[in-house]
Amino acid sequence: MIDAAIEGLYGILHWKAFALMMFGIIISSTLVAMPGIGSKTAIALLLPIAFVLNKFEAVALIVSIWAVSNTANSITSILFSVPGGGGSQATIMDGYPMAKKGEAARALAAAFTSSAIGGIIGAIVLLAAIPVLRPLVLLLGPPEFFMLVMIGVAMVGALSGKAPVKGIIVGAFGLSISMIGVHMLTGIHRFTFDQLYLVDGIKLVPMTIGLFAIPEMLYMASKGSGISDMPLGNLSAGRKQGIKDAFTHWWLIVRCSFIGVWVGIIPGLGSSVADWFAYGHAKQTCPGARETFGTGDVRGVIGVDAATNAKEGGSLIPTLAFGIPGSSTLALIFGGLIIVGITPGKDMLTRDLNVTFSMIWLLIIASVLTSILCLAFTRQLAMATKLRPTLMIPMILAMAVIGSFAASGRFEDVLVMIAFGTLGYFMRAAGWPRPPLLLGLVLGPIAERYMWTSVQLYGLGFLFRPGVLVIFLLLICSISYPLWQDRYSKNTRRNIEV
Amino acid sequence: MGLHFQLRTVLTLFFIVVFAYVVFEAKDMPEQARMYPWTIGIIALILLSWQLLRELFPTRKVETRETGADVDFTEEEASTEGKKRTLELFAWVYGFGLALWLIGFFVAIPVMVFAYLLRHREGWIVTISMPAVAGGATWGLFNNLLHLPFPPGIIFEIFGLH
Repeated sequence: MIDAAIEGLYGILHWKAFALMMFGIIISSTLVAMPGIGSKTAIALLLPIAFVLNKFEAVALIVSIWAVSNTANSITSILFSVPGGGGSQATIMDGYPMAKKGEAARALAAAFTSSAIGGIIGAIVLLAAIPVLRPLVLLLGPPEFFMLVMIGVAMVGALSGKAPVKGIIVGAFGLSISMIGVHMLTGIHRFTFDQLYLVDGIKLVPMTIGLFAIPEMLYMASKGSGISDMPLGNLSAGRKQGIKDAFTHWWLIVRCSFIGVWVGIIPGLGSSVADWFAYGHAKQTCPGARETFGTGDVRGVIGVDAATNAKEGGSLIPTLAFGIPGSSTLALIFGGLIIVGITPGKDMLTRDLNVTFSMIWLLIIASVLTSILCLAFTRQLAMATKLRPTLMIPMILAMAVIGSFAASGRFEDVLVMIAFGTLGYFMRAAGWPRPPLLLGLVLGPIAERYMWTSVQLYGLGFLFRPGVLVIFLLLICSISYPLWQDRYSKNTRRNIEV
Repeated sequence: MGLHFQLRTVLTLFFIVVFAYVVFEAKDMPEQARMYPWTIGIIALILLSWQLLRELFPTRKVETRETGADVDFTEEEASTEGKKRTLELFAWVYGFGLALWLIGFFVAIPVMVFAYLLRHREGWIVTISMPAVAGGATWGLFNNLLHLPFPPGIIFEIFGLH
C-alpha cells in the first residue's frame, strides 16, 4: 500500500500532471465563481482533452476541477448574497452580513482556509477507509454488486429532487439509454434504428454537455444581465484575521468536516444538504450562536465551508470502492476514468490502488492550492462574476460543440448534444431532475452485466441471498433517513431565515 | 377531483412512450438481451402510471410546481421576457447546428461568435477579437494539436472547396 501511495504522489507531482492540476484549479475556480456554470459543465467541456492524456494526467485534470469547486463558490455568496452553487447557500447566512459590515475579506479568508482544512480531513477519512473497504469489497459477488448499482441509481434518483418518483424514472431512462448499441452478450443491435452511429451507443460527453451546459446557457440568456454591478470594496483588510479565525475554531472545522464526509458517503445527498446540516450543527453547538448567527458570525461561515469541501472525500468512498458514483458530477468523472482505462470499483482498491492514492493526494494538494489561489486572487475571481452573459454564451456554445464533437469525431455527436440540451431544458422546466439520467447511462452496462451473471449463477433466487437482502434493507433505510433529515434541515433553514 | 392536464404532462407522456417502446421492442430479442430492458421498462412504466395519475388528478397535498435538485427553474426564466430570450437562444443553438453542417466548424464557429456579439451590440474590439480567438483555437488547438477531424461542411464538399 505504501508503494502505491508513493507512486500516486509521484504521478501527481510529475510536471505535466501538476500543470494540468493547476489548469483545472484555475478553470474550476473561475467558472464556479459565476453562478449558472457548475463544475459539471466545466468537466464535460474539458473531458475531451483527457482522451489524449495518461491516467495520472487525466485524473489530475478531471478530479482537480471537481475537488475544488466548492471553494470559490463562497465568493458570490459572501460578496453578493448569490449562491455560487448548491453548497454555498448557507454561507450567505453569515458571510453576507459580514460583508455588509465591511468584513468581506475576513469572511472570505475564513471560508477559504476552513475549506482547505475540510478538504484535507475528507481526504484523510478516504485514506483511512481504504484498509477497511478492501476486504469488504472482495467479499461481495455479482448479486450484491447488482443491488449496489441499483441502490446508487435509486438513491440519486430519489434524493436529488423534491420528487423521488420522478428521480427514479429519470434514472431508469438513463439505464434505458445505456442499452442502445451492440449488446455485449449476444452481439445483437438494440434500439439502434438501423443507424450506424447508434451502434456504439450514446456517448457520455455530448449527452452531458447537452443536458447541463445548454440549459445553463439558456438560464444565463434568460437573465439577460450579469450577477451584480455592486462595487467590490476592500478585499484585503482583515484577511489575516479570517485565517486566524479558522485556526481558532479548529474543533468546529473537524466536527463539520465529519458531517460533510457523512453526507458525501450517502449517494444522492449533495453539498446543498451538507452546508445546512453543518450550519445547523454549528448553531446548536457553538456558545452564544443562537444570538449571533445570522448577523455576521464568522463561525457560521467556517463550519459550512469545511463541511462542503470535506464532503468530496467522503463521496469518493462509494465511487472508488463499489463503483457507485454518488452524484452526476462523480458519474461524469467515473465516465472520464473509464475513457482513460480505469474502472472504478474493485480494481481501484487492488490493481489501480496507485490511482486511488493519486486522487487522495490530489484532494489534499488541490484544496490547499485553491485556497491560496482564492486568497491571492479574490478580486480577480470576483470580477469574473461581472462578465456579461452576452460575452460568455457564444464562447460556451462554441466549446460545447467542439467538446461534443471530440467524443467520437462525428457530427452526430453535435446533434445528440442539441437533442439532450432541448430535453434538459424541458426537464428543468417541468421539475424532472437531470443528475440521475447521467448516473443511469454510466452504470447501465455494469448493472446489466451483474444482473445477467447473477441470474446465470443463482437464477432469480439471487434476489433472496442474505447479502442482497441486507443491501436492500440498507437501501430502504438510506432513502428514508436522508429524506427525513432533508426535511429536518429545511425546517432548520426555515427557522433560521425566520 | 377533476382532470387536470398541464403542459408538463407532455414530458410524462414522452417518457411513457419511450419505455413502452423499450418493452415492446425487446419482446423479439433473445432472453439475455431482453431481460434487462423488460425489468427496467416495466418498473418505469408502473412508476410513470402513478406519476401520470398524480399529474392528472392532483390532490391538495401535492405541490403543483415540484422542482428537481438542479438549479431550480427561476421566476426570470418563467417570465414572458425570459421565455422570449430562451426561445431566441434556442434559435441560435439550432441555427448554429445547421451552420456547422452547411459550412463546417472552421467557418461556422467564428461566424456564430461574431453574429451573436453583433446582435447584442458589444463593442467593436470585442466583436472582432473574440471570433478571432474562437476561430484560432478551433484551428490551432483542436485541429492541429489535438487532431480533431472537423468535417468541412456540406457546401464546401459539394463545391469541392475543402
